[in-house]
Amino acid sequence: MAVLAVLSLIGATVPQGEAAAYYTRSYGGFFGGLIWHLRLADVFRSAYYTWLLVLLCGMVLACSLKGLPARVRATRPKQFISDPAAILRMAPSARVVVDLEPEEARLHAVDILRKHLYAVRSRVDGDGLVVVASKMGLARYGSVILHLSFIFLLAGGISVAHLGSRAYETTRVGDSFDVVAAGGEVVKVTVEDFDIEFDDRSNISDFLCDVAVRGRDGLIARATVRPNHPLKLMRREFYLVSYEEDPTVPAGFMAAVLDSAGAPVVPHLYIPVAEPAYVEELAASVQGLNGVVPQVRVTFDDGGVESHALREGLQVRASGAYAFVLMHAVPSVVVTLEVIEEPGQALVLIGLMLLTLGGFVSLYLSHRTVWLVVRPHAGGKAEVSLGARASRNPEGMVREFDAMRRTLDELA
Amino acid sequence: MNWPDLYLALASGGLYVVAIACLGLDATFGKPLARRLALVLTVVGLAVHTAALAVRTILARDVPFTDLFEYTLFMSWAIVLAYLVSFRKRLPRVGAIVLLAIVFLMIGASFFYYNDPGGGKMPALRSYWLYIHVSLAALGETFFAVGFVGSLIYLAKRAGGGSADSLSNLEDLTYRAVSMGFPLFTAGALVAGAIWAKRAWGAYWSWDPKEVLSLVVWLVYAAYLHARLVRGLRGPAAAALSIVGFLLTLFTIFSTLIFGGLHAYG
Repeated sequence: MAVLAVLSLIGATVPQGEAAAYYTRSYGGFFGGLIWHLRLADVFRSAYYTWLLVLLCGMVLACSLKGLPARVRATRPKQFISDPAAILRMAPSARVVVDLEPEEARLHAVDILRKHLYAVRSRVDGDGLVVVASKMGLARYGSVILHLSFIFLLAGGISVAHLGSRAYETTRVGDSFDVVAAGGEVVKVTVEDFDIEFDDRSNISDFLCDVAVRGRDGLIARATVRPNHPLKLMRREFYLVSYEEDPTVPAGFMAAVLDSAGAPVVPHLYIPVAEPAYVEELAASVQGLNGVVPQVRVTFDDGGVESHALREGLQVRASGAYAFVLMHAVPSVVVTLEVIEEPGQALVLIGLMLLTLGGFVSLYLSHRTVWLVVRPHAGGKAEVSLGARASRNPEGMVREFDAMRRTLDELA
Repeated sequence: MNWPDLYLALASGGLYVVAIACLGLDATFGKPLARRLALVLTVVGLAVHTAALAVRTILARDVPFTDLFEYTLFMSWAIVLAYLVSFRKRLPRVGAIVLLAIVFLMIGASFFYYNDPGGGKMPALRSYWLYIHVSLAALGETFFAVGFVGSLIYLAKRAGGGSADSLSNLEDLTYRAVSMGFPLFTAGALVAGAIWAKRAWGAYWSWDPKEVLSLVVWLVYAAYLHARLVRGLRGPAAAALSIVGFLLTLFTIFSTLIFGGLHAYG
């Protein structure tokens, strides 16, 4: 884990995946060469990092397999401690000499512990009697859950890494690409539309694209894909990764409609190349035509038609009342979709849930343990060494411990 | 310039500095009045700090932890709150001074990367997972800060021959803080982060610098808890682990300024 931590830090601090020249330029000849030859330029994909991970996973798995059955079987998994010195190093701890035979003293101590709702186990160890008592509740399942979470995460990670696939598809709006879906069926994915949404402060609030998936028998699904909202279909996931404008191919044109005084009646009129706009109430239509030189055609009330080559700032007066001002071409958009297949993701998800649950159960649920060693003392008496530990609320543990010790003192 | 959130944040930082001075007076000259004044100033500072977050929330129309400025402001606020609510009685005066100094430094640092609250957040951040992931991670790191101060004072007192009781109290304080912070950090930074990463980027884990550093932080605190619970590790080694953990936590928070990566907006 220490070596992995150091390598991870190196991988996080040294830029990864650059060319050899970059490292020589940035870190000098010696260190740059060292980084390159030790493959520190690609730590997370290096063989030694993978093998260290495999080693760690193997160890976690071995520990889990070794420890889990005992954990699952044992209702009181705490171990005996037979060294009084070790017990007296705990906080809280105490040594009490009672006027009883050791076995009698043990029985009294066990009785006291049971009154405080502890589950108790005892055994003879040399010349002493040792007792371990625990009040674990659900907390004892914490380590079981944590071990299980590691196994699930491990299995899920391996499945995702070795059985999954991911590919990026960059497509112009209106175009399609093929995807091999579950069962080997090839489906056609068409990016039908793309839009950017703005909030009331003109910040981009979202971007989204409409996607249609068609199989041999026609349309399978149509959905809107946006960040945080992938399309999940036929064991594949489609993520909208990014978009880019391509100014070399206009998708449409932005125009404004002005009245006779020059005031904007329709300040933003989008005229798509593929779908001609028609503004009937203005008694004229504007049509963008796709081609090397885009044209706009305006039809007047009297049936007259004018065609103009599209250029920025072009103004066409219609019926004397309105004017169309063509402002600029709207570039087409190219979107990148990521297509993912990850068969192990359910395992990862379960592992993550168990990791959370195990952490909370282990550390947030209270568990207390009390250890005792009873040994013969001079004059037929017994010496009781007792110590305790609590996972939470140490003050409460001290109060409970003091109460138990006072009861034991009464026997002294 | 109209930055009421920043001015309020800096005002709260100023109040904490005066509280630190009062605690210093009490520690040096034994003035109980100064100690009481420090408490009042800390409470007032927290109120102003809360107002800064509230104003930021109103201006941004969103929770106040979507960028680095907001995150440090929120986390420093949570540290003061955790101190007043849970740890004030157990943390010695010098510990309170160090904790408030950390808070002041965080507020001071936030000044350098102040962002316009009206700038909006990028589409990838528009998810309810933001609230779960970031708030839980910040709260976990808040408790790590308290554990760091407990360990720091523990080592100082140990070197200066502090009593066994005070050392034990500081060890327990550190353990308590870390054991509260660790599940929150696990749930927020790692688990919620991984689930959200899957939704937003299509992968639970991408070896992003901040992801890797968060994992290293998690491993350090896991080692601290494992060693303490299984092996009963106490003393300077445990304190050193807690200190290293928090220093790495700070490095992780500000790592995007150095390395960029997928978390570059936060």
